Amino acid sequence: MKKLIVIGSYPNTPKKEEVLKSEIQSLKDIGFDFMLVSHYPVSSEIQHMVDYYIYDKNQTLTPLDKTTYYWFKTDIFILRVNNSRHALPICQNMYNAFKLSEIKDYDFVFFSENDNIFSKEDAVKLSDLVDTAISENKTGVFFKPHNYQDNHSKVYETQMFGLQPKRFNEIFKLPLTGEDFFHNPNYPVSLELGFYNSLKEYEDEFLIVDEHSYNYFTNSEINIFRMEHFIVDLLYNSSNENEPVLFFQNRNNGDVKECRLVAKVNDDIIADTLVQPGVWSYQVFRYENQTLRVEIYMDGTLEIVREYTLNESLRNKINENGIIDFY
Amino acid sequence: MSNKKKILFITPHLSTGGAPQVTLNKIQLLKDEYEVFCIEYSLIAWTFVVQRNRIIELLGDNFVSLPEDKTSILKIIDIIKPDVISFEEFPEFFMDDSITKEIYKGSRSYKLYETTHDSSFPVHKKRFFPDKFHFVSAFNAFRYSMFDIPYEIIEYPVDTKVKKKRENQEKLGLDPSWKHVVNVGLFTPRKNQAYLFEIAQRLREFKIKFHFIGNQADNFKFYWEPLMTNKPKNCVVWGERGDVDSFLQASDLFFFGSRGDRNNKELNPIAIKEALEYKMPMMMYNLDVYCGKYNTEESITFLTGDIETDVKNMVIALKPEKILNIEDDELIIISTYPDTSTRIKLTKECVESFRKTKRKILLVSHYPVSEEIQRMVDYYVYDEKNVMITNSYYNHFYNYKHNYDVNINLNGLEKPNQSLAAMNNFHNGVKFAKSIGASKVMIVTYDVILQDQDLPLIENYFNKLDEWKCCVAFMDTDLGKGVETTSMVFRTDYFLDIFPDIRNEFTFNKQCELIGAQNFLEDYMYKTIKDEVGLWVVINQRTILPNSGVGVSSCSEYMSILPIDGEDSKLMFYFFTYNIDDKIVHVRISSNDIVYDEVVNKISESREIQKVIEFKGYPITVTVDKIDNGVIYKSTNYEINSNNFKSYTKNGYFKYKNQVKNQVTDYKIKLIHLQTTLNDEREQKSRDSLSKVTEHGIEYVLHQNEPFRSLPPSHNCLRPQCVSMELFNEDTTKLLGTALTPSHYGCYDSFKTGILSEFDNDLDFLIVCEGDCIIEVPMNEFIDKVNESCKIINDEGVEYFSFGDTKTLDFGWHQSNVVREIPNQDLMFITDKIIGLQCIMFPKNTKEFLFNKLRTHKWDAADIYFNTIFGHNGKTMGILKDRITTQADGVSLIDKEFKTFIK
Repeated sequence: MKKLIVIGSYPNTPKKEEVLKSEIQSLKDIGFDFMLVSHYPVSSEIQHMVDYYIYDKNQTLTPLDKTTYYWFKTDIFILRVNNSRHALPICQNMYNAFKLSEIKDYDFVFFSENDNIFSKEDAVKLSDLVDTAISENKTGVFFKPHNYQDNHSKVYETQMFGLQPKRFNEIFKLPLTGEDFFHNPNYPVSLELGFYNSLKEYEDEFLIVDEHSYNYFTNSEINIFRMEHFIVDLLYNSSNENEPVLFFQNRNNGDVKECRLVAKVNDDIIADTLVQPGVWSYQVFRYENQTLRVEIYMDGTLEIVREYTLNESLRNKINENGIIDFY
Repeated sequence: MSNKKKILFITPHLSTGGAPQVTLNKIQLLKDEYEVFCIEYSLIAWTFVVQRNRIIELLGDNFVSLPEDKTSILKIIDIIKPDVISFEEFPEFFMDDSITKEIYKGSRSYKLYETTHDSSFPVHKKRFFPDKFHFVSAFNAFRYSMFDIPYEIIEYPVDTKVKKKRENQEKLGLDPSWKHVVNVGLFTPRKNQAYLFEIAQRLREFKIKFHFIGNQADNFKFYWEPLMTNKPKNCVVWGERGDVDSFLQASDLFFFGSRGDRNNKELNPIAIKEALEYKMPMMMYNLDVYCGKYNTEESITFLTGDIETDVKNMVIALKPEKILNIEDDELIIISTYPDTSTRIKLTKECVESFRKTKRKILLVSHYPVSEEIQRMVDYYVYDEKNVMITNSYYNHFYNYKHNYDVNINLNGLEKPNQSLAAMNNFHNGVKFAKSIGASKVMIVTYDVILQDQDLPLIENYFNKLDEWKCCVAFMDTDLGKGVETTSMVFRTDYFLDIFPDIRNEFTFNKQCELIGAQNFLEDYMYKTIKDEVGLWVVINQRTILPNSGVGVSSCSEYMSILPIDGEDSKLMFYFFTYNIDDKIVHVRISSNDIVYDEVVNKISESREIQKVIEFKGYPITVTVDKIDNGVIYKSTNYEINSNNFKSYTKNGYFKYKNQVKNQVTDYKIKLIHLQTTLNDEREQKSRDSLSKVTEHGIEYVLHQNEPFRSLPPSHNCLRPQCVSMELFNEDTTKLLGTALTPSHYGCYDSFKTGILSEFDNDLDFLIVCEGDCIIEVPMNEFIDKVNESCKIINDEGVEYFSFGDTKTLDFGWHQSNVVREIPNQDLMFITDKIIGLQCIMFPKNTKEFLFNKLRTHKWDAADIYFNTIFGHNGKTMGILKDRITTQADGVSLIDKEFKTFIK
């Protein structure tokens, strides 16, 4: 029985790299091979830690009309930040992984996002869960939290799940393009809901765990990057399209003791400030071909990097980042 | 004599087409009930003769092709005496009137029937009249009814058949995940293949292949040649085929674009009828010659001539899948192993060069690839398992030189064969290509840099894969032909079908055995595909990319630890590479973690390393570090101990030849080499020179001391007033004497420590050498002179001896006076002063005295010190008359200047 753990990753910050390494390390001893999939280049050190690694440069983001987003309203503006467009790239990663793992004759694949660090006993629990599914002739393992609904529907977690790649590739055509992505005219469809809608008719084949994965693996750090502690992006300004707005907001509830924002224009620091929990602010820019780099440090660790070149090209697509409407 | 009635068919020609097909069909139907004859009026060409050949098969001697003299037909008719003559085309089209008149004479004894396959012949030009017309369509029956000659319409039969689509797709090698459109007919303006080319061009983003069956005759070159020049990639031109039926069965749509004009029309095309037999979707013009008979055929979509509409209708009829990205269908796979800066550089250049193909690039590797290179490609698959195997054929490396032979059993020290690892890379790449929907791949190795002149060839190869399974070149190997593996183009499915994905050595070797191959890549691939059909093999070129070549990087490095012929306790570390690059190979020989011998070799300076290892029973570790750009990219340890010593004897052999056998010492001698941790170039040269004494029975010990940098002690110094951090100027020197600097003390201290720690009781002699000492004579001569010196020293009671010069090495000033000549020899004399310490020697009986003095006597510069303790104590000192050692040029630590010495 060939078993594989696939980790979908995007290690574009040192913190994400560290968590990824810890995740691989935490699952190293339970007898699975490892495959890493990413749209972001991975270091040689991490490649050495796995059996297979697939890099796919192409990263088509979820279309704006199909993505969930963050919105925020004050007395002076309302804004939308399109910060959840990675559902489609995640599907592309999954597609690459499941297709290759089928071709490479793996019998069972456990997919996990790159922000789960398992304790020793939970790693064994994961292994047991997969073995149970196999022994009960189940083709998949899904977490379907009994107490969670999205648009009045149950969901399958995509944070982690297991399946037989051959069967999965047979019954589910993962969306690879914007056109393919899950669509509902009345509301955007999250990846979890999309999975559930596409696979629920096969539920008898699956081993269902009726709770969140973080409630199942209680001794582990699951979905570490679940909450976006910090919202930051350069947005289209509907009041003056020549003046994009850098909006930022510390949404951390106290888990992170210190959030620090450093902004650089053409490598000159224009702001280096601590942002207290709950605080938001914005800064207006103009398109003058300058580069803008924003770094967010959480408790001293660089966790978010945003880079922009304020030129015509950005102007033409900035609305894809989000929009701010001043009243 | 047969009682059957005789029918004679006269055909203008039998070059492949609708008319000969009708004739063939008639003959097939009638040959059992009648005695059938067939006369071919003209043989137009020896090609395109599918139906002609079948008729000959059916009729044998009853088939006649007329010679130049066409009147011979009259004699033949006279001999056959047919009951019926059937003209397969109006005689006005092809026969001389004089002959026609004779055949159509009123006194004829046979019935004359005629048919025509033309719809444009002016009716009023008909001059010869048969007894009956047998028309193939109602259209002509109507036109010729004005002559009041009986006629019959005999349509080509349409028999309903069941398609065996998958079976025929497999037979023809058509991808079932694609839709297939087939067109049948001679390439002519009337058949109008140009229109389907245009439709195909517009449907490139769909998974549709367009197949054209039909000959390209020279007389229509003006038409088909420009079409072929701009052939869309989704069009496959198969030429004339005998298996049209298979194509019909394998296809999803039959396209018949024939339109004709006022004087050049279709009549009743058989191709349509053959397609109708399968009730398959069809697209064709509804020409007036069809007299509306296809109006109700549900399977037919009529062409409108408006390209937009016709393209749309074809998509509706086929419901084809879209190709995600048209370039995704063809993928470049680059196989690499970027473990050195050279390979990294080549990989980047390779990727950059193949960008010009405008296709996506997939990199495959068993060695992690840098983030920078990942960003350069579209996909990258890393597979940690780099399965190296033993060689089944190339299992020895030979290097026969004038003075030594090397024979390495390549399977001895480690597994050298990377063929399976390369195949695994290819499989990873091709499987990934399959998973993203690419149906064609080009596999290249990282050291092939694509030259612009080869770009059109790559386009051509990818196009060829519509008809062929792969495009490869064959190369010469020791076993005959082999596949040239640095650049190959394959259909994805074909590669995966033909080459099993094997991941372990045992199974791979079994597979090689099964196909009769050795386990190197070129032979394995060749023996796998050699009996296949449908391979496009580029001839007269050593690679399919003649301008880009077969790569510039050889991976051939040979390394082993070999037994030395005739030396039971010695092994030879041997390394050889064909590469010329900036890598360094650092070999260390150690025991109990103490390195006692080493070689640092720059490949750019020497591609070969030899190092003798003497095994005396205690465990030895040989560490080989391969260093690139200051980074160790591969480090390997080999252990030699009593348990495994014999196993090294299986690794091949090293054999000295044409040279005097290594001279060995008659005494037990140890040589201490006193160097610093600076390890500069002159110290390295010195080490290279001195360490060779191990091959001659002298034990070599290296001491590397930190340079002394503090103020030396004055309390135990012979000349405390001279202790100084720097050298004195001339005036101070005259006043106080030569300064004693930290370097002087360091030198003295290294001699002291070296002698006290290394002068073992079992030694006959101890040689002490300075860090820059060079042996100037061949080693055997050196050993001879050491042996001779040792004997004289023992005989004459010499207690301190030098192999160095009697004069200063920089200016040649005389130093060592002759105190006494020793009789019956010309090697040495007794002296009162030894000035150079580059190579000195103490006999066993001096040890106690020497130890005592070193422990108690006040220090001075080392040369002065030894002259003092030996000279002042009446000890005998000896020196060679002609030196055999000197100092390497370089920066002197003591004098702090670059010094060159008299050679």
